[in-house]
Amino acid sequence: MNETPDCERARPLLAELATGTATGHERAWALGHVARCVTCRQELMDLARVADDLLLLAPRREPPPGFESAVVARIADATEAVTPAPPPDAIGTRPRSRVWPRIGVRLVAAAIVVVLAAVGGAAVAYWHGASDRRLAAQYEQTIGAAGGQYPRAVKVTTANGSVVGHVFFYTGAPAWATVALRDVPQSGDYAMSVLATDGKRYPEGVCTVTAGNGIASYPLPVTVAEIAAIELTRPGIALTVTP
Amino acid sequence: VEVCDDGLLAGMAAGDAQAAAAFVRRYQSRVYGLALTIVRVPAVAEEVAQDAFVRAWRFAGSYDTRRGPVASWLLAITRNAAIDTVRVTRDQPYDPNVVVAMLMDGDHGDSDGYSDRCADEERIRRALDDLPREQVVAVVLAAVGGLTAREIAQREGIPVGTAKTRIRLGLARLRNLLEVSDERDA
Repeated sequence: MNETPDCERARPLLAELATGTATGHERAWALGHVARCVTCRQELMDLARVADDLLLLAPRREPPPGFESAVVARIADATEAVTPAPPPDAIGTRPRSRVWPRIGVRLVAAAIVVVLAAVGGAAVAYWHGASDRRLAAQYEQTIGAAGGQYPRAVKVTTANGSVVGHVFFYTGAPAWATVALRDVPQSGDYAMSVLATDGKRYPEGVCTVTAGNGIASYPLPVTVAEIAAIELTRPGIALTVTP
Repeated sequence: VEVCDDGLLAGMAAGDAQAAAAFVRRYQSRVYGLALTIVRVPAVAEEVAQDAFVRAWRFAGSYDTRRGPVASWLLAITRNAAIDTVRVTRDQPYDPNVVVAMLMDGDHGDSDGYSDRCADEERIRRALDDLPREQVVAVVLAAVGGLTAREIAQREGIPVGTAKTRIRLGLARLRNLLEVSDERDA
C-alpha cells in the first residue's frame, strides 16, 4: 500500500463521500484524489457499501393499493416518451420488408450525391477555409490544454420544455461544467445538483439568478457519461439538464 | 421458479412489463417503507417510491453487480429521491431520534418473505448496537437522512468537526464489525 500525504488528507473525508454528504471544495478535491488512488478508491467503495447496507434496516410498509400498476403505467409512459411512435404507414398494406430496400436505394443515392459534392467542394473549401483551420487549431489547443477530449453543450429546460440556458461540459482533468442561464422566469438562488446514473445525487452549491440571468461553474463529481441529469431547483420551480 | 433480481432488472431494462411488475411487487414494501421513513407523509412517500422505481428502470442498464446487491442499489436510489424531495419541501424536518429508533428496533413491518435478507438486517443491526449512540445517530443521519456534517452539527448542537469525526469513526467501525461478522459467518 503506497500511503501518500494526499491519502492522509483524503482519508478523513471518505466517510462523507461514501454517504454522499461531502460538500464544496473538500469533496471536489477528495474525488479527484480518489480517481487517482486505487487504495483510497477501494476504501471508499467499502464504506459506501456499508452506508448503503444501512438502508436495509428501514421498516417495510405496504404501499397503498394500485401502487404497482401506477409504477408500471409511469414506466410505460416514460418508454413512449423516449420512443416516438412510428408515423402512419402511407403505403397502406405494403409489407414493411419491402419498404426498407426502397429507403436503402434512396439512402445510397443520396450518399453518392453527398460524396461527389464533398469531393468537388473540397478544393474550394480548403482555399476558403484558412480561417476555419485556424479556428480548429485554436479549438484543439484550448481543449487539449487540460487534457480534454471534447466540449459539450446541453440545453437547460423548464418543466414545460422552455429552453432557459445551457450547461457547458469540459471533459479534461479536472472535468467541469459551467451553467449559463438566461430568461429564467424566477430570480433567486437555485440549488444545483448532479444526478448520476447510479442514482446518487451530488449537491453542487448555488447558482444565483438575477433579472433572469445566472452563471456558475463547478468541478464534475463523475464523468460526463455517468451524468443522468443536472437539476437546478428552488421552491416552485425546477430546471433540468439531460446530457 | 423465482427469477433472480438481476434477471428482473434486465427484463425491466429491456421493456418487459411483466418483469417490471414482478420487480415492483418484490421491492415495493421496502422502497415505500424507506421513503416513508425519510419523508414521513404517506402521499409524498408514495410519489417518492414511484419515482424511485422509474429511476431504477431508467438506470437499470448501468447497474453493476460488483457494486452490491440490487436491494442496496434500489434503496440508495430511493433514499436519494426522498432526500431530493425533503430538501425542496423541508417544512417538517423529521426527528432524528425517531429515524434512528425505527432502524434500530427491528420492526420489519410487512415482511416480504426473504429470510436471508432478514439475517443480513440482523447482522447490521447487531453491529450498530456495538457503536456508541452518538456515532449511530451521526452515521444514520448522514447515510439514511442525507444530512451533511454541518446539518448534523446544527441538529445535535455540536461543532462541525465533532460531527465529521462521529460520521468517520462510526462508519469505519461499522465496516470493521461487519467484516468480522462476515468472516465468522464464512
